[in-house]
Amino acid sequence: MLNENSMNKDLKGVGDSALENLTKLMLKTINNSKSPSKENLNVNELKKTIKDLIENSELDYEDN
Amino acid sequence: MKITKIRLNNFRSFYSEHSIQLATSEDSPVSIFIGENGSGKTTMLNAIYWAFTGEFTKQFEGKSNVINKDALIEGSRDCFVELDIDNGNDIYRLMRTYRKGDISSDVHLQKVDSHGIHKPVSQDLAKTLVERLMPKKLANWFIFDGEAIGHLQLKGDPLFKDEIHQTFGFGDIRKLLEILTVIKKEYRREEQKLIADDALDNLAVRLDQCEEAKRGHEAQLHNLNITIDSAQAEISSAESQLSKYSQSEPIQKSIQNAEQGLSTAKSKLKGCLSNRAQFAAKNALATLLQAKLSELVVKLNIKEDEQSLPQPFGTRLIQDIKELGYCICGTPVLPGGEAMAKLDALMQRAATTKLIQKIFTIRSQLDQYAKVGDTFESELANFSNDIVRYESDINDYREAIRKHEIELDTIPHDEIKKLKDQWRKNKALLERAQDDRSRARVYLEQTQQLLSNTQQELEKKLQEKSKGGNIAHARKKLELVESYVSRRFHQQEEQVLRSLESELSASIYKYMTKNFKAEIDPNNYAVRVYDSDQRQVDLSTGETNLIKFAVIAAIVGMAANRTSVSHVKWLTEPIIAPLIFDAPFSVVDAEYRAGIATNLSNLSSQLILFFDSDKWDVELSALLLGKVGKFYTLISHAKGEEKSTKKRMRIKDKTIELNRYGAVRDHTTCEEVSL
Repeated sequence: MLNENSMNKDLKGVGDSALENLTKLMLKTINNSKSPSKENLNVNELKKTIKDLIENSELDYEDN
Repeated sequence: MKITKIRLNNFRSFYSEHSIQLATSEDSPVSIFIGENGSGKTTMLNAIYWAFTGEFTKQFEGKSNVINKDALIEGSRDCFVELDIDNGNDIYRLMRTYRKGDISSDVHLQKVDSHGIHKPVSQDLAKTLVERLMPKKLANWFIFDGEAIGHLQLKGDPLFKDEIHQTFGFGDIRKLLEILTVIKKEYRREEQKLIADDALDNLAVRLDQCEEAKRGHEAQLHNLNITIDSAQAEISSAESQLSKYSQSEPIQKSIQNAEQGLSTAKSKLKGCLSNRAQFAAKNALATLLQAKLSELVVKLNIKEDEQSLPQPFGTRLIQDIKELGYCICGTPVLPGGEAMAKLDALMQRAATTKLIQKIFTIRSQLDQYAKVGDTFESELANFSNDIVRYESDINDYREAIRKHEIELDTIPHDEIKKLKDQWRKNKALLERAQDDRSRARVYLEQTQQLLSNTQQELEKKLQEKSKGGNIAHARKKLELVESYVSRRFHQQEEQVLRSLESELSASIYKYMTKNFKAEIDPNNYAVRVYDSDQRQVDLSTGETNLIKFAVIAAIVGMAANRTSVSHVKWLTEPIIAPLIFDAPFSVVDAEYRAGIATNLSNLSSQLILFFDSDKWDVELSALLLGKVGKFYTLISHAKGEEKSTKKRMRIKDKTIELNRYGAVRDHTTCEEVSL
């Protein structure tokens, strides 16, 4: 449930399935970043992780 | 998420350690706790609330006394509540401890692996996980005193919308969309840096300005929507309250009518008094004289009989001659003839005798007086009757006015004025805000169009300049993701609202037996109910509370995919938690109790209910026992000798004592009743 920031194989390819998996992964990242003990969660780190997830995904925008 | 076991140690009225297993199976997810007043039901509910949040419910009294008093006296300095939690994928043991003198409590979490080995989780992670299992902001949704259902607002409260979003994980989706927008902007800036071009710079500046303006218009629209919702709520509240005071208008109308009647009656009385006075003045003398003059007539008659008065000179003889038609001398006396003319002249002369003339006058006057005398009393009586009637009318009208004024005094005029002012103020505000919103929508549309044009222009330029560039590539992927997330978010929100409407309509039909339809405003999530003619229905407090329970049951059921409506394919895991209610039916009408109990037990993945022993009856027993997996009684133990006030109750064929005496200390125990 936690610490699953690594890329998922299913993110390769096109279509809603790949997009859904990527979205779920990004949402999990956001969910994991929430901690009541950290008042100001590190937005930059979160942004960077999401950026990495998108850049490393093999979504083919031209086919969508 | 289900709570499988609760362990309490020296927590409030629970002295020493108590371990309670809860029902968790799909078929029998209900755990029931029954106890007399003050036996520790609210304490048990708050133990769970505290374990998750470190806080207590608003209604809980004596929040500072967490540790059992006797345990403190005996030297214990700590207390704890421990929950065994099954999250579907993982099993946790959550423990909250409190040590006397500490400012706050501590939370400890252990993850239980497949071999049953407990591995402690770090404090930070523990807090994160606990917040994820039961977000503090949502604890009030899942764990509450039945009376607290009244606080749930269904008229478009932003908190209600926010809580629904949290339950279904929409908050995370919105956050993701915000982050994607920020990243997209960064990509654009990077692209611009790489491709120095004045035209591009200008386009980028224009794009920024458009986005800024769009955000401004959106924020303005959002604020205007809030203002409109709030003004509409204020107007409807003022109208609803004013309708209670609408009886003042018929009362005021009645007062006006009575005042008009009073004025007419007064005027008639005045006229009548004046007429009577005039009548009396005119005729009273005649009446008085009539009595006196009648004596005179008698005297006159006597005088005439005594022949002491001169006989009317030959008048009788002349009369006889005229009637006979000839004189004693034999001369015929014919009408119109000379003899008749002479006789008339003689009569004239005879009547001119002074005394006779006076007597004539007196007799004639007497005749008139007699006529007046005959009607005077009855006329006066008529006047008196009219006066009495008008005076009675006046009294009646005055009494009516007095009564109406007393009624009117009971109506709070200041309050009405205040409500009317509130209505007028908000009506004006609403009209202004609606005008502003129409304008803001036009501006937003124009800005969006401009933004879209500028984006296309920029896109074209960028494509020309950086075809195949990595940043453009990444940005396009991001835009693809952004469009997908946005589409799915709106789809899910729409599906949640439609499913909720369908569940609510079904509950209303089933439990209120009314063919009403529930609708949820997508802007503010206000819940409205319409009849079969599409007219909005004003529900009673009891009906509203039924709807509130139905909303909670439907949301919990949808999150756990337990409703009959089509299942939602969630992008994020919704919050699935047990529903824990103390005195759940204290604020609902008896007729809806069965419906709510059935609904809650069908839709919640786990239901924990606390009942006062007086409130548990045959009907509830019949409704719930089929779903009950665990049944407990909370027993109050007291020091001292047994009293005659022992409280007992029957559950199925068992008699259970709810209070016991002769204990070493006052405390509560929890005993399972096997069913």
